[in-house]
Amino acid sequence: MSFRSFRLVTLTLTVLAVLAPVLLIVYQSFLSGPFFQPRIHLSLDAYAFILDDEDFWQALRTSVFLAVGMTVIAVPIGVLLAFLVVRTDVPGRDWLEPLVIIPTFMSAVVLAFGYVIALGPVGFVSLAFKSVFGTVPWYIYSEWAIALVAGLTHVPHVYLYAASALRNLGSDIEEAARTAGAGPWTVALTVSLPMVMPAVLYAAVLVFFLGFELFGLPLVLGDPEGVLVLSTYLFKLTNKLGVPSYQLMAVVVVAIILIAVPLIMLQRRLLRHAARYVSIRGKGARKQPIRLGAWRWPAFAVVILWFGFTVVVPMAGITLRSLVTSWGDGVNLLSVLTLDHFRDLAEHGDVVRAILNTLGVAVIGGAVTIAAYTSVAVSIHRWNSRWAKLVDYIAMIPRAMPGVVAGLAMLWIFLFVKPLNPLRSTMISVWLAYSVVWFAYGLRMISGSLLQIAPELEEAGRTVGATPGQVARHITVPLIKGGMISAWLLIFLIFAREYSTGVYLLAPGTEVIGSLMVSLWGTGAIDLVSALAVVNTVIIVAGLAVALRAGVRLHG
Amino acid sequence: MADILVQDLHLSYGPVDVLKGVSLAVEPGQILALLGASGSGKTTLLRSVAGLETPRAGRIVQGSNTLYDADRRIDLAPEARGLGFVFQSYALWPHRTVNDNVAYPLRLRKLGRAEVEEKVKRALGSIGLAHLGDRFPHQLSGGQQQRVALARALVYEPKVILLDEPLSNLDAKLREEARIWLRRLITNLGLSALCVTHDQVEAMAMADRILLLDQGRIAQNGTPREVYERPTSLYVAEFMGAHNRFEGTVTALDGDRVTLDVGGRTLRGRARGPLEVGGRAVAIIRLERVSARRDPGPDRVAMTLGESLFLGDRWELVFDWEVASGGETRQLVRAFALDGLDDGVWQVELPEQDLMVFPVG
Ligand SMILES: Nc1ncnc2c1ncn2[C@@H]1O[C@H](COP(=O)(O)OP(=O)(O)OP(=O)(O)O)[C@@H](O)[C@H]1O
Ligand SMILES: [Mg+2]
Repeated sequence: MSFRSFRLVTLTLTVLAVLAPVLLIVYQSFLSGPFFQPRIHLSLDAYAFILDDEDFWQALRTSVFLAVGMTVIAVPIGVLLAFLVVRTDVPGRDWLEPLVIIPTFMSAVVLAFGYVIALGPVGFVSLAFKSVFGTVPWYIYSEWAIALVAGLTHVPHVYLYAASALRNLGSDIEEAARTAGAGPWTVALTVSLPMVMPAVLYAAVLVFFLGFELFGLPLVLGDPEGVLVLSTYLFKLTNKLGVPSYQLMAVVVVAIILIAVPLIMLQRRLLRHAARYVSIRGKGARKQPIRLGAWRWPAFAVVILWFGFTVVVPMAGITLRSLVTSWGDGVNLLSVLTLDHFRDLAEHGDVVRAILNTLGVAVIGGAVTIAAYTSVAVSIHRWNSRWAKLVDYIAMIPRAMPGVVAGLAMLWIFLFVKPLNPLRSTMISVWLAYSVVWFAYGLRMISGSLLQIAPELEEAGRTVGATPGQVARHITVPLIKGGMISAWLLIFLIFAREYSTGVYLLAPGTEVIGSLMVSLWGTGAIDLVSALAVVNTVIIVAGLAVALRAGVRLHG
Repeated sequence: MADILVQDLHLSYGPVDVLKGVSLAVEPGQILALLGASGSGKTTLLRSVAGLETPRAGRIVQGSNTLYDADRRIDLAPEARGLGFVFQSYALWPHRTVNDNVAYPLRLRKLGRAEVEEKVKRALGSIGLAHLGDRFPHQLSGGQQQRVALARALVYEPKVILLDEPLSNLDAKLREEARIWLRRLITNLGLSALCVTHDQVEAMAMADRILLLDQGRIAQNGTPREVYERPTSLYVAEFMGAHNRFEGTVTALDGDRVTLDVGGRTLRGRARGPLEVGGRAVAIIRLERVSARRDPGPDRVAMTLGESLFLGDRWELVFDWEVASGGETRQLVRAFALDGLDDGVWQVELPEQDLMVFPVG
């Protein structure tokens, strides 16, 4: 196959995989009933229904509230942590960085279960607190609690951008201010902070955007009090009318996409701006950290406190829960310890399948996904054409679809396109949905590696007689092998953690740990869920350990 | 038939014209040096010949084979041109050993395993690196990498080899040896070569012909001696070699003999372009043509020795030429000499036949 036909095939498949779900959703939103029914016609009824539904508007308001709330919480804490770790002599700054990034790899539902088990009305921590103080002053099933938890778990997103901006900041800029007579703190506030503002602003918009994509946290923490956000409203809509109301779901999805698109455009603009800002950097010489003096340990405590609340408390809660038969007021935990829940996992066929499927989709599926992303990246690599730009834009579209939405869209595609029907209840549908959802992220990782290749290395191949296809196979791809392996490890972590994309595709044969946990939680099988959550976390931690040993940079 | 023929080549990057009508011919067995200031388009021209850039207009022919022809819409892919190309950065593939780097072009040509091995061995042997075949490029020194890059470009026996500043990454001493070695290698193999350099000494040492580019146009095309001794423009004269420069007014013309007034002093030289009496002109004389004498004589001017710089193999002498009235009061005149001179006043000879006078404006 010539390189041109390879490119044509790759890009056609890409465009199909990305655009077909979106187009199907838009089409469905203008129908009077589900697309598979006979006698349906074009209609705006679905829009009328949704726009008339008070619950929709309430969900939208809650989504905005959460997005604002978590941004307000995540941004200052993220910037503070970045400053402490990058620019000060806080103890343990070398190992604090991986620590701060860990929550990005934790499953949001696992954390949410953990919070319920630890801090819920009858949670471990709540009960312990009550036994000492007589009362529990917090209530976890509220919008405020969701905003707080979501804010704290998204601190790493802000941290990553603020930290890399602070690192890129030339020390000459700070030193110039120091020699002009400013103290270290004055410099931090008047020189460093304004210089990293564009990066922080970008991160703020990113977190705000992610606020609209929240699914696991509001599903678990919002459900008991009926708090709905757009994505959970969509999820509950299935039951609302008792019949498959695809057209209504499609309208909600269109609303979600319409909110996401401008935010993504804004991010692109800001990113370009931020890149320009940071590029005025001086030498990346090792900087003298700012001495915190007496504040060293309090600063350290801030980082640890955040980590403890965000990761240790929920993880300890869920781990503890997976090891006891029962819990509650007056139960002596030591007397109820057991490993039965883990043994029980093996009794359930769907659970066993879920574990195997998760490993399969993360390891094998992840490898195939990286191969696919690499094909796309190589196809547009150094291709000076309008089509290459178009693909770049198309890659953004899946970002506008939160996992649940993409899963739903993929389900519909497998129902809508007759030849694909038999694949619906196979892992191929799940794998495809995952690959589409993470397309933009993965493509950026691979093209990032491609950009590191000096053009002469490829040109040298051409001049000695290799065709473009041979250059791609023999030179380009071998040269990014390292980058592909890192990307594979990161995709492994992401696929192993996924829960939302799989919920609509969940059927016998397509179980994955994440979506099965969501479904089991709904039936109240907490024993199984907590054991599964621990298994899921062990898989992720193992992957993380391999990635860190292999020297993978955990961020793009 | 020329091995490489370029006719009226034009190339632009967006609105910027980089090559503005370049023509050249490389005869079989010749080495042509492309010389020019930074940004004059040397690399772009070389890459166009290799097919790595697409010109806007013109023609490129190799032997009887048209590589590029804007009018006939022919534009052969780089891999179809069968030329050898040596990159300035060498562009050795870091993921392949030296053997594999050199073997790759042969494998592409579907040669048998034994034949590949044999040719790689011969190619590495001819550059004296047979023992380093199993190393990776980063385990080689700069000079060794340069040789491997050359072996890789020659192993498939192209007729023409294109080199982009092949010696610029080597240190000064190595460079002088390498250019002799490189010239020998190319002529022994009977190749034609197009070699970019911005070092005029290197160009003269290596090449049979020199083509000097100035902002995408050809400034002069000739043998090294022609370009050095009979530059056709002020630009070429100033580009080649170390020189003294005097600005003045033409006071008399007699055939190609010119008399020039430089700030009140009189200089005599040879016209290198259309001059007229009363017009402004610039006189150029190479440092090695200037000499210092004890006694007055024709073409000699009295000057004070200002500084003597010891360069190892010779001295560079800097004289102060006090000019009477009118123009600049001081002009520096530089000269080379084998031995140092005493301080004081000297009779500095600027031979008439070596003073090249060009019109300005
Ligand atoms: N990709 C490009 N886009 C736009 N302009 C370019 C590009 N590549 C080169 N140029 C411009 O074309 C002109 C010629 O460049 P070229 O690399 O051929 O110069 P050169 O003579 O090889 O210089 P040097 O001695 O510095 O290598 C320069 O002005 C350069 O800025
Ligand atoms: Mg160049």
